[in-house]
Amino acid sequence: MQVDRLTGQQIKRLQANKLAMLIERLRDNPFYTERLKGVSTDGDMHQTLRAIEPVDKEQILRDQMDNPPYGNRLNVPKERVAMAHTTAGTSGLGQEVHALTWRDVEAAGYLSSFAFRWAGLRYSEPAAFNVGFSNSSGGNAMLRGIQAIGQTPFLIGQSGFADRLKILAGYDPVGLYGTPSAINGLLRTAEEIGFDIKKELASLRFILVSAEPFPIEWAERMEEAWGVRLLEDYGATQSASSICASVCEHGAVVNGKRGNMHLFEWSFLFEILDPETGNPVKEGEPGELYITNLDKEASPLLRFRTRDRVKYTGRKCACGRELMSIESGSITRYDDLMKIKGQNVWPADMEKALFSLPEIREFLGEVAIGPKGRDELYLQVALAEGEAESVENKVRSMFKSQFNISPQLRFVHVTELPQWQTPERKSRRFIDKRQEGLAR
Amino acid sequence: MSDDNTAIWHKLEEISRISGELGEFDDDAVRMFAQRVDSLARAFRDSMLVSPDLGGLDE
Repeated sequence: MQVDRLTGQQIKRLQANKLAMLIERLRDNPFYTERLKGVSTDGDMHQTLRAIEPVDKEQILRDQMDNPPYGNRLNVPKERVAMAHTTAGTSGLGQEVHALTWRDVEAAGYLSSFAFRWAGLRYSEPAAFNVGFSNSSGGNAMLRGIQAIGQTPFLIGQSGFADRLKILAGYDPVGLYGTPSAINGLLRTAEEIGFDIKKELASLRFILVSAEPFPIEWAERMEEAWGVRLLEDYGATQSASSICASVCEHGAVVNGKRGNMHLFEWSFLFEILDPETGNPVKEGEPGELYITNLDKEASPLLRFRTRDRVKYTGRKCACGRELMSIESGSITRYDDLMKIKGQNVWPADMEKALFSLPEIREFLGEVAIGPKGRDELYLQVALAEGEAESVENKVRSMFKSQFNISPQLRFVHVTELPQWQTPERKSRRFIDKRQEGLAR
Repeated sequence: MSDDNTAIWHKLEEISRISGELGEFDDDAVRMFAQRVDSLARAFRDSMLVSPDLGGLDE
């Protein structure tokens, strides 16, 4: 029986056994001792879990500040730490440090390989990833994930877009990973330098994306322009530095609708909870994703609050797997919600709206205090095609009808805007500068 | 649980046992090699297989 083909009942039993062993491993860990006091592993797994206080980012940062560099969470002797990964720090609170033993390093690769398998990578086939190497977990997960079944003859994450295209054309990869921004950037660069993607990269069969939400129209446009299938995965430094969910063979968009990302439940325990009530959400509802690492040795996490807003889509899929699933392409952050001109808006929704216009190549939105002392949304837009006047009319009308906001628009060249290319530089296309304005 | 799965599981247990014995050699490179092999086996086991010890999943 393959781990991803277990029945829902089998998954539950496997998780219950692994959770009981994990809790026993952590009873003497100073970070978890208090949390696990009185927690029994004899009863129902979900009751056991709910008895444990969740872990959040602030608690991790405090722990590692008090007990540098790994915090008291470290559950192996320091000499067993093979490497450590740090989070991107985009929250502004600080960068978490997560240690890995050699087992954890290798496991991040085996787990990540499921996303590439489901995408269609087969034994010894080459694939590439648009991630540069750093202390972030992304490079390790992608390199080892591909290498667990296939090959990575050349790395491209260190190069500019034009050079990446040249390297890719030289060795016929069948798969390519990148953030939606990177995939967008590669396509635009190809158009600018006259690089015929379908001809030069004829061997390419799939593109795997993650780290940013995307509109359905964008996914369909990319599949058409690249001539490949588009799939999506999800992972975090806190999910054992590994990919922990991915769409199956059916893809990120199926018949014009968003696909299902299946969660890797054989190695993690996931909860999707209503942030108001703390209760599990029902199928079709959004909630906050909590992750428990069932196998990780060095820095295991019990009930980590990701602050990621996901939509639960149940356990049924045409692929026959019975893994818990979340909707593809729509993961956002609970801490991203902005109030602009009295309207509550999600930056991801504004991104989706803007990128649904094929004329828009890139943009940057800044919310700042305007000359009249009121908040204003300033949008800088770089065009891929079309006339500025017509795009301006479309954007104004779209923002008025969807968000009830009238933005101030300015057209710029794409080089004047930040270039988002890798998961280490998570895209922040909407920035709140109102505090600066108020301080002046 | 399939026989293939159980057979792979037992082979990995054997690799871990041999790695343990290698790790007792008084040579840093051999000890490191043993640790890496053992880590690889355990990572594969945890991430790709269902343990035969985890309670009759095929009941």
